[in-house]
Amino acid sequence: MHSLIPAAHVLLSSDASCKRALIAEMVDYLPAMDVDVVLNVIMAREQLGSTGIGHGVAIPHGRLQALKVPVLAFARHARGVDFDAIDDAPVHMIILLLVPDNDDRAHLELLAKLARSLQRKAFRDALMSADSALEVSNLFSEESMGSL
Amino acid sequence: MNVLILGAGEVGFHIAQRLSAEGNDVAVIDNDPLRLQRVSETMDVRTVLGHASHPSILEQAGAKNADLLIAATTNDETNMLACQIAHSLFKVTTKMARVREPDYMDYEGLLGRDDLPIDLVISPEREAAYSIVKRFQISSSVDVQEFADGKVRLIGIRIQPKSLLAGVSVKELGDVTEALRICITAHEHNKVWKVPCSSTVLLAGDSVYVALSSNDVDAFLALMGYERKTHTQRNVLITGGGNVGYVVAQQLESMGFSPKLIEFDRQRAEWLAEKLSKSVVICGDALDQQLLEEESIEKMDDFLALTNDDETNILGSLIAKKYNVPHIITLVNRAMYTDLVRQIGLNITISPRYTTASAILRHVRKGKILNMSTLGAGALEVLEAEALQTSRILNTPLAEIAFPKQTLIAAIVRKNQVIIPDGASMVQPGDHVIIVTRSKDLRAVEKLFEVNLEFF
Repeated sequence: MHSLIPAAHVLLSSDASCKRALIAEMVDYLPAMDVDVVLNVIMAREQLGSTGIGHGVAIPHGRLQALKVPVLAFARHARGVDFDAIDDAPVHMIILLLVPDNDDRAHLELLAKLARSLQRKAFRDALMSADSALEVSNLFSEESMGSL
Repeated sequence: MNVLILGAGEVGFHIAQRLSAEGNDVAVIDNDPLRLQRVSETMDVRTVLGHASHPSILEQAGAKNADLLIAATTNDETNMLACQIAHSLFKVTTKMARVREPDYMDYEGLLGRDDLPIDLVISPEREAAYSIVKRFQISSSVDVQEFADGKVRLIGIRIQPKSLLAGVSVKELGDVTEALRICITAHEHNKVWKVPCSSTVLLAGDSVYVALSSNDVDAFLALMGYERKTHTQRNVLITGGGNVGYVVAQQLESMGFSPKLIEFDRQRAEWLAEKLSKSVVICGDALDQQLLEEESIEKMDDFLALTNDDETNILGSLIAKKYNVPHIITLVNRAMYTDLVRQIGLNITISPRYTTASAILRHVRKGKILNMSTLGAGALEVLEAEALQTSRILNTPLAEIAFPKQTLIAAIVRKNQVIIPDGASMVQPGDHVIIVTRSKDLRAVEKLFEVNLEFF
């Protein structure tokens, strides 16, 4: 089953105290990524407008020159972290999306697809109640994102 | 945003106050319990007592979670070291430092991510000097602010009794200025500054800020009856040849002026005489009336009181006022004096604390907000923002946008074209928008420029 987010990129219970610390923690799960570079890109994008889309979900994203294909990571935060979200609610589910720096429309479609799935309560509930990284990863497979 | 401010002096205090009022999470470090007490009594911020560059103190103040560090202690080296530590140990994204000593800035290659990691270095003296010099660029009797790389200017003038603007309402403005497109962005009547609406009537004695294309400045000033005399012939007297006075004299020289400069310290005066070419450097006491008369103070067009002593500057300015010098600028460091000085009739004060704080605040808003400055003693803010794809302000006639009260778009800059908008104008992606609003509505205005999720 092909998933957008491999189990190795899933952080089941973060306890980071802020947006920045959370992103830094997620980058640790991505091999060969420079934390400083990613943080700069992501935080610069967040300054233009938060990617917290409500319902406790945020999809921070940005372009990285060194990338060939999109890289995703997922984190769950039980307490909730302040993300300046549009509904001002704390964020519990965070998907980090890093894409190559080109004009490919596919990035936008990927982002829209993630946002659409996360709009659905059933999908969010499944993410929050998943017991393992693998289970979360499986939820981000083609089949599951289409059905839930 | 989590902000860490080092130093609770005049600059740190002012920035902390502004940033915490805007809803940021602010922590202030200082090694003086009394100063910290003043901070915690005035605003809702965390305070940490200790040496600002010690890693343990920075950690205690929450450096790990800080998005922004502003090092504003009075010690250059502490500030620079703190930025390095915040970078190496705590990965703080943005770091700003106040650095007084010009020598540090004379060498390129000192700053950078792999060198000394400071994103912005601010010198209070230099900021103050520049804001003084800016007043000489057009005509020193008006206040001038520049936006969009100088394409748009905001000109502050007082409406004279016989001015064409006296008795005119904002909606009738077009009849007076004809082809000249201007926008009244701020209006002061009885010492209260407001953003005008179309029915506001401008009266003699009121002050206004007018936004217009820089190309139209000459035509506008001519229309208002300001003669643009070859103003480099103006007689300028500066008292105090410290860091501010020296930079001002230097800049004025490069603009063609030949100022007179009075400096108390003989050694410094000699140094100044050596460094400055067109200025006349006089060694003496800034308050010595006999000396001032010898230097024909009564013939001066401009008197700049720039010593590092507030009291000397205030008294000197009062003496100049007695001799009817038309344009007096008083350098005032201490916040508590600023209001007092206005009350005794010295209208133009420059405060390094204030200019430094606004320079820092301008950079805090990096991103959507490219530039900002204050009008009318802090009541109103002017912002320059870039309208990015997907932001809410785009493609809607301005009349249909729900702006906060007393908010107006003064100018839109599209590539090289300056548009003074009306209700039907629309903002397009990539435009730079000059917008004026009340300080308390800054956040709401910023929201109009926020991008959507889809913005990559």
